[in-house]
Amino acid sequence: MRLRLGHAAVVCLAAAVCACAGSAPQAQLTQAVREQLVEDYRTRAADRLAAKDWRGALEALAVLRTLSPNEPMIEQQWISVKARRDQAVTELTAKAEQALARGRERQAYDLFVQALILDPEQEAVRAALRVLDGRRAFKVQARRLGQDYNLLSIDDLDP
Amino acid sequence: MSMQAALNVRALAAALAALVCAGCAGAPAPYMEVARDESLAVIVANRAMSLETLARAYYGDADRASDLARFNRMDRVEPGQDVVVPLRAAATGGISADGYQTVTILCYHRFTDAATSDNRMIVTAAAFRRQLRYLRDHGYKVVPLSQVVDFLDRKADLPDKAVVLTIDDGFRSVYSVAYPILRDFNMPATLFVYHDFMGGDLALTRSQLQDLAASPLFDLQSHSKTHDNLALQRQGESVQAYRRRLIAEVEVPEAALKRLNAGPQYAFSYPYGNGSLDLIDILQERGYRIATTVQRGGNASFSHPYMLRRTMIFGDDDLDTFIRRLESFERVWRG
Repeated sequence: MRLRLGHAAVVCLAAAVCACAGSAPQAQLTQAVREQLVEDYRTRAADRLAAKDWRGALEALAVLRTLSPNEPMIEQQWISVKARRDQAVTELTAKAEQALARGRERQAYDLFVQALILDPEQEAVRAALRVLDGRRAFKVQARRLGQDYNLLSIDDLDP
Repeated sequence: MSMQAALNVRALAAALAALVCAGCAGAPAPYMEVARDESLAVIVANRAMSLETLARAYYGDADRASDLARFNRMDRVEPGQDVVVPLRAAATGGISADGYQTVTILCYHRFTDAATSDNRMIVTAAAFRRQLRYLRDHGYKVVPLSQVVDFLDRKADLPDKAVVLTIDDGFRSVYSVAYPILRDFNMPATLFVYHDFMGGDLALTRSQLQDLAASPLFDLQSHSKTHDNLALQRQGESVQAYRRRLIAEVEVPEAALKRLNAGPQYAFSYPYGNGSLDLIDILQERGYRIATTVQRGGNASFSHPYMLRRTMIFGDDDLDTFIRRLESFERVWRG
């Protein structure tokens, strides 16, 4: 995450000043840098939202929450984006399950991966991917051994 | 640059000039912490610095620079750059916005000191050394297999470009050829031994096995009793007899490795890389955490723990082939 050139100049100057100055000017300069960062991360969050990149937007908002704690606007936006992200995960998971029902395991796998990338905390998605990964491995093995492998139900492979 | 930023620059420049004029001297601290709460710290670099500096300061562990690199998608810190330091030790499982980390588990068998070999299961000492040198010089981190268990459990992340070395069977050349090279590079490896091979002319001796078991670089795990293809129920073999056979294939080497003080048994290498649901069941019951195939490719944190991919390295693989086999990240394009 890189500051724009103008911000970098602010920071470098602030750093030099902080190295020399007492605590009061240092606090003011830290505040100035924090304000620059808030501006920068607001822009970043807006860009990510416009691109419907919910994860990226949440990452930027998480930093904003640290930079400006208890700011109602940021909290509200955080809750709203989280809800959108969760909705996107639900939609991807539903599509993955539909693909699975049609026997399209590769497509289901890719959709589950996209869901996990949006929210790496989704343990159910992770578990589904594990099962699909195991089934894929057994399919490869069965092909190699020339077996009619009586392919396994998903639950059989749940680690 | 916004009007506000420009004003800030001018104001700070004036402040700086005033301080310099006042005779202030001294190098600035490498970074300043701008904000912090229980989950994140936000710092800004005052000068170019390594992520190791920050990792040491915040985690007390320079090796965790890769956590910062991954989180911030950066390799180094430029002056004026902001870095976000996650303060909660939550493992990500290597999942990032543009894809996911994979760990390659390499699989060797035999080695030779000779310049060449016409058996592709035998890797020459020179080739092995070249491969390890490549890993060391190109940012790969060879990690013990046990760390893969934590990665799969999301208890700990692996470094970027993590690679695991494993060696199957238990040939004597592991001791005479591979071990000194691994020591030179200080790289750990897991040796999967199959029980019935031990004591043979080409196999590691008991004292060599004890030496390896005692070495911090080696981890001894099971590769079955007989090296039979355990995925297949024999003709005429009842389900019960098959299961009894599988149990013996797990229990016998396990007991032998315990007698060698080989440490906790948590990993199993399927002979010929072939697993079976019955065998997975038995391994789970006995507390094994992972098992490996010989299907090529990297392993994600959501890979099936009892069907992990392993990439065979052959004696006729040149260095380019070896490099192509190393998979550490799977990029995902958003649809």
